[in-house]
Amino acid sequence: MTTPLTRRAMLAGTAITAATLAGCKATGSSTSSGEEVVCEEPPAIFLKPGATVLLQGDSITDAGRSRKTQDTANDFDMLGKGYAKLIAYHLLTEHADKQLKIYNRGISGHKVPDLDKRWDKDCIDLKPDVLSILIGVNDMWHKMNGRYDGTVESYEAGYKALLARTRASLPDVQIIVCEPFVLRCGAIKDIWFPEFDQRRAGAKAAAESVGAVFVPFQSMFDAAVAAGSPPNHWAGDGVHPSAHGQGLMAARWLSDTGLG
Amino acid sequence: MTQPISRRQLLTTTAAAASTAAIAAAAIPGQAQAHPHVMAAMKPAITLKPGATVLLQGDSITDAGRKKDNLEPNNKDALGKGYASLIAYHLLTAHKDKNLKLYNRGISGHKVPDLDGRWDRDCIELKPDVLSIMIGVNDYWHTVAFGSKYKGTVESYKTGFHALLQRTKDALPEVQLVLCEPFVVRDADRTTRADWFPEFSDRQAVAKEAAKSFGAVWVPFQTMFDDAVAAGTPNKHWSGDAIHVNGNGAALMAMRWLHETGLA
Repeated sequence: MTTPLTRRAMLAGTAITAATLAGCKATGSSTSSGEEVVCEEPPAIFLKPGATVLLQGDSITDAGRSRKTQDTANDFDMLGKGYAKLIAYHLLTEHADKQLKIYNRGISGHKVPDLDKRWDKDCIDLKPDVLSILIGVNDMWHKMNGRYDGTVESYEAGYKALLARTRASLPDVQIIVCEPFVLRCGAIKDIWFPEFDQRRAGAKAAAESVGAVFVPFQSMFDAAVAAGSPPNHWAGDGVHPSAHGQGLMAARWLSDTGLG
Repeated sequence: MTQPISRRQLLTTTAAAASTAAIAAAAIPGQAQAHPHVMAAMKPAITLKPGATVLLQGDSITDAGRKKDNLEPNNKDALGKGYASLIAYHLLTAHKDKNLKLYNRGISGHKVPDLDGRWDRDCIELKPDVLSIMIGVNDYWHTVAFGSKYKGTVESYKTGFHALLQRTKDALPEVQLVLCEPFVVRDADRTTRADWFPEFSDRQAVAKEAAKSFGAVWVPFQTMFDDAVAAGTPNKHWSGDAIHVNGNGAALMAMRWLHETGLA
């Protein structure tokens, strides 16, 4: 039998077997059919009944959410208008029996140090079972505007420290790190590179430092553009995704977490 | 282990098992017996072979402003602005090594007999490996609006839909079918287009039954939107007229389609 297992199927398989079979992360395991199953992917995310899911980040996550109802889980206005809300309503409809509590606490303009300052209130105190973070575009953008002096190194170090702190306070939290991304249009000029790529690598290294699921939004948008769509279809200014961009992000997030 | 396995994970595991001689059974023998849903989920998800053609068919909700004179696969203008385009770009990015060909051939206003009239050109000749159909809203709507010129019944919808699917299976024995539930995005107190029910429910039941008869993956959009409204969203958030979805509704549909097909 030579039918390749899809990546997604391997992910799901990994998640199921993780608790019952040790060593899925080894190079492979034989099956009754003799096929090698390689489980290279991190485990998918589990949602237990009553789980709290927190989405954190900057304006892309914020997407116009209401601050007034921010303590009310699953509130329509609190969830904003972006990928966080799309993810929330997919989970709330597909897992309607689980009584999930979903929060969006993204804040427009924020960078890693801004998350760090509000992390007790806006993350630890909420005791999330699942935490998704998308942060990094402002860490670069604000530096280029002369409003911030962070470096590639301080971004990666700060991000790793934030995640380590989270893991220390919430040992069982399942973490998802979303890759910061830009589209090559609008505000995004050649001068962003290669530094932005180095920052993306920093986010990936931070994800690996705590065993987080990494959602590769930059690769996704690069592939979408390579497939024939213009960059501004996904984000007019190169940074803030359109409804289409948000939809694609939510689909990918759900896919890579195994919750799709 | 007490952690419940999500339905989605069961589905994909089952799909993987189906194509690789029961990996799931080999890997988690105790689990399979412990969870009755494992047996219930023995429906295979959709598989995408390299070079597969995926065709999305339907009415205005699928059409979503696509350029009718552009017949190319994977073309942004040809894919429209709705759930079909989001599905397409998710598949093209998540499975970019597979060289998939995605087509949208939905046409605004169409009913089952309209699909039948253009099926050779717009389905059979494209030889889809995966065919998704969402049809039924106009089969009802045109009997009660626009001068009620259409005289179709629940029975003729059923007969016509079954005939279309049988013809498809005869011409394309290997095609993997996905049937999407026609829907109305109702408000919480169910007053939105209340006059559509229960006859519209009868047609939804026909579509669901057809999915079962033809071994198609069923995508329950009505349940999904009912759940979304029950979870606290205004129905207007997904659709202005309760029939044509906006970008938010299209995104939710695309995610559910990807989920149910196992292609997410």
